[in-house]
Amino acid sequence: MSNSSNGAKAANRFRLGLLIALSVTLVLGSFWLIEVLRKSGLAGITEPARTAPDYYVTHFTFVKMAKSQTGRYNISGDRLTHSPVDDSHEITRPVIHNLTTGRPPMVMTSDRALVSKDNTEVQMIGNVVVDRPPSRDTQLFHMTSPYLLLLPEDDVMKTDKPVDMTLGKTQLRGTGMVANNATRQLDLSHRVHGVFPPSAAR
Amino acid sequence: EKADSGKPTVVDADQMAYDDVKQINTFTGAVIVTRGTLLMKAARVVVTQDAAGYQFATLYAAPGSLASFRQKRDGGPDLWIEGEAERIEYDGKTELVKLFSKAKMRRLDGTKPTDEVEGEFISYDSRSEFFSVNNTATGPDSKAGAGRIKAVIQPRTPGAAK
Repeated sequence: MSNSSNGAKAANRFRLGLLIALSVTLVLGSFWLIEVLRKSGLAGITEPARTAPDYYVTHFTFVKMAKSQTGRYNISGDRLTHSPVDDSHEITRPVIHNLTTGRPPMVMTSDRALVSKDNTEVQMIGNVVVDRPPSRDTQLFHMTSPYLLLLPEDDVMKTDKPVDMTLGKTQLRGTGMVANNATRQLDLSHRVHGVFPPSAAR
Repeated sequence: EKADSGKPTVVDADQMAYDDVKQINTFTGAVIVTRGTLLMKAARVVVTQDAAGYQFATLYAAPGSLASFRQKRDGGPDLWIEGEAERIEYDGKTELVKLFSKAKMRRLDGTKPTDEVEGEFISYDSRSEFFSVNNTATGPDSKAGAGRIKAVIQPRTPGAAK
């Protein structure tokens, strides 16, 4: 009888030992897990990324220099606000001058502008007006549209919205435009309406 | 008709490409050119202007079809002239309309053709309303053996001219 009770005791002791070992592994395991999570940026979750603007500038002019140290284009405006979320800038009442030498100067204004992707894209939004004075070999150019995307590095401007345009004395209307100031080509892609006035030399 | 001279030239199209260096507008896609009563249609129209602001338009038909031209004539309430060709050149200064290859032109009284001509080259002066037909598109004069000219002149019904 005593043999069997000894056996039972041993079995009990073995089961108890197993249980203790299991719980110790569990406790150590969870400590290890927390440590891993903490190291892998667990702290980031605790501190929310900043979405509100982090700085603004008033009455500014930003001049982008060409390699030849002359100004390529400049952007001025009443207020420039920086957004850290996507490193973009919003400008109220922007005025953009295209200054590339050898090409007709162009002035662009609108209600506001969004400058993103380190100044390679400028979205002009609301009452966009583009003006280029006539010169020896270019006609007067005046254009209005509700929206215009500028790609200053490529000297291209484009919109998918309606545009109203004056080219010399010709009035042109269309929807969707791509204008390349470098190659001096302009395309209207939908519903074009052009009016060429009768010659004044009658 | 003469009153067209003082009218603006209006162009409607699907697309337009403007070459700012050469100052050429190219309209494409169901292009309609109007100037007063003058109405021209083509697949592609190239418009240039001279220093004085006169327009010059060249109309190209789509492959297999023809560019068309229609204008009212003076001298009656409902007199018209119509034409079509593979290519039409319109000079806004002299108001000459030139029709090149597979050219046809007809005068109409209302919708009834009064006379009709066919040839390789027809030149129509919309001021004097006078046109000339040649069998070659390359020169002002016809060339021997270059092709036939066909003219159908309707008889004047007696008393109709009153």
